[in-house]
Amino acid sequence: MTGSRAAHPGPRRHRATRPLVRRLLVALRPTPRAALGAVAALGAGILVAAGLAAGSYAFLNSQAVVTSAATIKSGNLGLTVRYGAGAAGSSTTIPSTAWGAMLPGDVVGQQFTLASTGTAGSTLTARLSASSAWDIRIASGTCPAGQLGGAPLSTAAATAGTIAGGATSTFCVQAALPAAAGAAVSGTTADFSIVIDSTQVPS
Amino acid sequence: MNKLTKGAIATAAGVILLMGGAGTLASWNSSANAGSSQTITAGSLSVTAGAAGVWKSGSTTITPSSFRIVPGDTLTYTQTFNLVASGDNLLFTLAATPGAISAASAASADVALAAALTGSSTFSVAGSNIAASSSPNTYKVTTAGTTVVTVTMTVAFPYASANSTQLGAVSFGNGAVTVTQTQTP
Repeated sequence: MTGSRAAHPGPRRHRATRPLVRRLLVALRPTPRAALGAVAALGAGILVAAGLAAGSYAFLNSQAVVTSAATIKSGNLGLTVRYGAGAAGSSTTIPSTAWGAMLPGDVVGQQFTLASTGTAGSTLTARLSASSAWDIRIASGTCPAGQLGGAPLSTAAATAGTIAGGATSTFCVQAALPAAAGAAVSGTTADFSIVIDSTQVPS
Repeated sequence: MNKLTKGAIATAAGVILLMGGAGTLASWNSSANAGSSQTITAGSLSVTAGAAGVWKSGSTTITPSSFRIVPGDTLTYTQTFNLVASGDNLLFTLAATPGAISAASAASADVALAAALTGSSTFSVAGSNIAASSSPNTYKVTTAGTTVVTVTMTVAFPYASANSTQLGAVSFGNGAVTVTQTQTP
């Protein structure tokens, strides 16, 4: 028996080396899943290659740049009011002494200045913050000798002219004690406030 | 079979193979040139910018950096382009896209102004080298040559925009004009 084993050493050596090759072959043997993966990888490779060379597949085409790049800035709208030598601001007070001791039929005007502090032109409207026994009128320009035309102000906004962007304009406000004022008004004092709104208009 | 016989057979086979390619052994034949040689030249399609454009507010030329836009304003930027097209059957579409509007900074006025402004673009074609086709913005080359395309970018600030848009700044980007060949007339 020993002799017969010693007589066939070859096959044992062959069996000893063959598993290594077989393992390699088994590892490299294409399975259906591996084959599908290889096909997918190949397809992806072709797509990537086609994508990289996409220019050559396009239609005739050309493009040019419209050099319109610019910074565009918006303007603004602002309105200040100033009486006499006072400071311009969002409100001003006209001293009541100008309108002291008025009698029925008297008309007294005072001038003030409106300034547009923005770039946009606007229309102006004026209204009284509260109704008054006195007739209050407003108009652009210096005060006339007589009474301003038009209806007296009420608490509803009424058109009072326009002002251009950055412009300054003189306005006149007139208070008139109606000639038909009742005796109850005699000796009374009435404060009034005028609200002037500016609304931007398209240039 | 001895070597001599094998050699004889191989030689005979070689001779037969060689004779197979001999023209003189073919059937009667003749050939003539069909037509004469021709040069075939491909057409072309390209668009290039002309002179720098002009910004206007209405009909007044402006400098955007010093202009202050207010609600109700419409600014336009007009630039000409040279469209060179040749090709007997060349159809193409022409398109102009406006520049993008973006706030110059994160400031609320800039953001509000960028939201209020709208950009658009139009173009017009002058000349008879190309003719409008039945599809929108599609043209066909009638004569090879240059056609002037005038592109207008418009920035509109709607009237009655909010006060928050005052003193804002936005960046208006470059636009683009594109020509693309098409097969649909």
